Amino acid sequence: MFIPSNSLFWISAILIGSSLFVSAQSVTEYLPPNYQPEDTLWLQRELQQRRKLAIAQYTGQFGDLAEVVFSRRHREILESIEAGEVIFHPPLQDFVDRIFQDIITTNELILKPLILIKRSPQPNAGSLGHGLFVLNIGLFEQLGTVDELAYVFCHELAHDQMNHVARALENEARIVEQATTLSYKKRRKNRRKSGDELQAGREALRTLAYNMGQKSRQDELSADSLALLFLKKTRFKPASAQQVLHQLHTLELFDLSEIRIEQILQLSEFPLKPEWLAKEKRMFGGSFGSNESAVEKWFDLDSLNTHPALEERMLMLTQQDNRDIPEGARLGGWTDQHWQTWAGYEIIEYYFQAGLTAHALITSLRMLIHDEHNPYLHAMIARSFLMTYDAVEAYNFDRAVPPPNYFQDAQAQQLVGMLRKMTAKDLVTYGYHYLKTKKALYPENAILEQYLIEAKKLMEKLNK
Amino acid sequence: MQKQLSLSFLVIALLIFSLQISVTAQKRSFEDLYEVELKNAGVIQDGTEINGYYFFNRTQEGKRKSRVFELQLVDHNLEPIGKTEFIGSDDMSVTSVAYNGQYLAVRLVDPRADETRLEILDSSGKTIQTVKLPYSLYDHPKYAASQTSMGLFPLYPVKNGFIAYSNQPSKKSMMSKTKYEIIFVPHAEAEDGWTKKSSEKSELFEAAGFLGADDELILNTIYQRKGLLSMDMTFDIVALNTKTGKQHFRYTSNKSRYPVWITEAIFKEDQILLSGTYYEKDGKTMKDRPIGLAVIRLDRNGDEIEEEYISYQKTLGKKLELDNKGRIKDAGNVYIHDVALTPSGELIAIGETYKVFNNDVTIKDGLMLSLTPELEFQSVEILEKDAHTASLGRGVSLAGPVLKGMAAKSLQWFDFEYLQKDGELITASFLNYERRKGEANGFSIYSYTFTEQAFNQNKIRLDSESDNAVIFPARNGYIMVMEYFAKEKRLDTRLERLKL
Repeated sequence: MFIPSNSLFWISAILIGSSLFVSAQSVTEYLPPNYQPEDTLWLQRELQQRRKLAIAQYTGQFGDLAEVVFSRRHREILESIEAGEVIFHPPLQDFVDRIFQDIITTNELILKPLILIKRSPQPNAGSLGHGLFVLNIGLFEQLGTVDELAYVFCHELAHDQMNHVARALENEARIVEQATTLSYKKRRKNRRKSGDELQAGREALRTLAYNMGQKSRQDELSADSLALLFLKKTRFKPASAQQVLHQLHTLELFDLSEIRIEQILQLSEFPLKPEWLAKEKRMFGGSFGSNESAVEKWFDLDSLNTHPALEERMLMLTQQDNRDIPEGARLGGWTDQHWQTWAGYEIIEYYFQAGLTAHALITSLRMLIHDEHNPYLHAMIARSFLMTYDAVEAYNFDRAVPPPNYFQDAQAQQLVGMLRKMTAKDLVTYGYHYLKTKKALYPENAILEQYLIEAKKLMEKLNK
Repeated sequence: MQKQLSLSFLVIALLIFSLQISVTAQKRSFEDLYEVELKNAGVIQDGTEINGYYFFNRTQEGKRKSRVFELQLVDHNLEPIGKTEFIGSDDMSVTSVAYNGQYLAVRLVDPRADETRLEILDSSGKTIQTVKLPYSLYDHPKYAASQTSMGLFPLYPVKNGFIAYSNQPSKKSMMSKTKYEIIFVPHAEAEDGWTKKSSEKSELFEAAGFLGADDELILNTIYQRKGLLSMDMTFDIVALNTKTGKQHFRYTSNKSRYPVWITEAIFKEDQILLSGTYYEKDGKTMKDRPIGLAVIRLDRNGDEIEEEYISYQKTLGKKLELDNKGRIKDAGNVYIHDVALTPSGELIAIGETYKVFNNDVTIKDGLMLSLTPELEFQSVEILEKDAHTASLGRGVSLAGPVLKGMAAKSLQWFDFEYLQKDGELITASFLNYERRKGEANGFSIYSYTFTEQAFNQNKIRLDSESDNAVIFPARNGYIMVMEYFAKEKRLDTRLERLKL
């Protein structure tokens, strides 16, 4: 299912291409994909095989630990699938599989990849070893071109080929050993001494984490090197490597700096109140004494970032030969914008299902910057207000809307502050008037109509 | 991009499969605490504005006589502002923290050293001034909580400084005569502070408490009684000039038609509105039941403009059956915890019903009363909650229900936690321990908000397995909840939004 055989490849490409052509026309609509595999048994067998293969590779010192680690990996993947955290969307899956296959074939790698696409909005990907890869939907939303995606896939393939999972196993062994020592010391009777020993133990763990982080940085650099070699053999643009790292380095998922909340959300029928938008004063302007815990200070180190050493990596890539080869061929099917937009919708839907209405609102507004006449996004903006009202009613507001400084962007902070100050009635009234305003602009849009009906009912209930 | 934290490379990879975004949003946890005392946390507010919260915890460092304590500040959204350290003995605690827009004042008590001091800190956390305050037995942590439960807070922010209150027994015994000191500590060393003390010649037991302040005047309630066992306590209002400490006026209790226990004051244009509960003309405030609510209007020189009284018969009696002693039928006595005046002049009174039998006090339902600015009955709401009974101990059985109610109040047995004003929004919150059928018992927060002339009820179940819970006022229709988990030595704080 995931890797079509050669004989089926072209047939499926034609079929998929035609179906995508149909769906590519409707970027203002969204239908949720499946979150369960079509063929559960096949997938379970595949995963089980990879687990056994992984365990069989390690004997001696890491034998027992390999059993634990790879069984845990296997279990967590299954739990994740069961929890509906993985996307099974054939057009997207085939798109991804084709890129992987292109890289594998042109580089003559011996590998049968199994690629899972997760619902996470974080633009990230991972190699779990033994041909297992995870891609977050956030990657598709953030990366602008197929070439950039291809580079990320090359990078993960490089990790897999260099067997970096083995290092993870060594690290795990060291952590277990350190943790065991710590736990033993904790059981000692003399509390005062064990307090110091606990502290020493923590320091040792941090040192270990830092050293592991250093190795992680080295792994990233070597994976980049190999990835570039892979990429150069394909039809994709090698220059995309730097573009990807640059994007990750400057990425701000909740960046609303290009808009002004008071302009984009202003309605003549229900104007925004100045007190909603006013910035709240904080004691001492938000800074008093020392604001760093020892732990926070430590873990602020770049080494433990999921994208460590970005600056080093960007520098390394500029020193590599990454001249463009003749224009990279697009694989056809989805356009850049289509899967970017679709991924954006999927992320918004994910946020709604997770009850994170502020995240959904900010993401919708962010997408609106580049697509201001999109009625679907307007519907999602209104939906955010209505669902925030639901969260208030359910005493779940703290889940729906984080504190203002949770987001770094000033406009996002202002938006969150506004949601916190609006009463429950304000949230419904605003949502209703927003929908009414947009419905007048897009009278044929069914989604706006659907939410407008819901909002009307809520208004009636509140005004009783 | 939000950073993900991890301890191993494999875990980093596997984290991709743990999809939970760590948006516990408005929750902040303090873990691995050496020692936790819930009373060492509190709200920092300036008048009615909530600025944030403080947490004072002992760290693992230091030796017995010089332990290291950490004072952590978070803002009204529970987001960290910063922290600083203090050195003290094992028993050191914080009784109050205040912020006046520029500086932080921390009132530290060290009973082992018989020391109370005020430290004024700037934004870098540096102490710019340390002022020794008279140490009082009432500063001891075991008594301090009962003082604050009666609304006697020892520290307030005012313009250019802080006001500290010290009520001290004259000898080392709680039975001896108490005297008060009201101390203004300027935050700038160049400014002069002042102290207002009760008269040395006075034979009365006296105490002072903060009532209100604006830029020019500080209003104080002066509590007086002839003897420790005297059932008649009087409440004078003394206005002091903020800058000089000189008395601007004294409104004595005998000026009003009825004895009034004034608990609230607001400055409204050029008037000062005082409100509280009133008693029969010859009534004794420590023995007799209050019979209604009063509002007294003064001008800024302390001269009376108007007195208005409205009895409980005319307010509560409109909806509830009251006997001739003012008790609610089937519910018993009413303890009025607090009274609030909204900016538009509506009067809100919050109380709880209780019954007494021998040494036992049974606390039952909550009660909220609202009156129009013309002191006409507007509404009364009864909050039904689980009853609970506690025993006052021997020797109290002969005391009347009013005194027993006061004792229960000082021992913090009532469920009432606070009455908060936030513009036109008034919030009254109760924390009740419930017996739950078929599941573990636990705490529930009952909160009433009053706005747009109507009460709104919220009930929030605390489902966690916390060992103890405390609630604090918060801004904009929220409640701050603090829960302690003894086994994990963890303190969780979060903001619960009310349905508004």
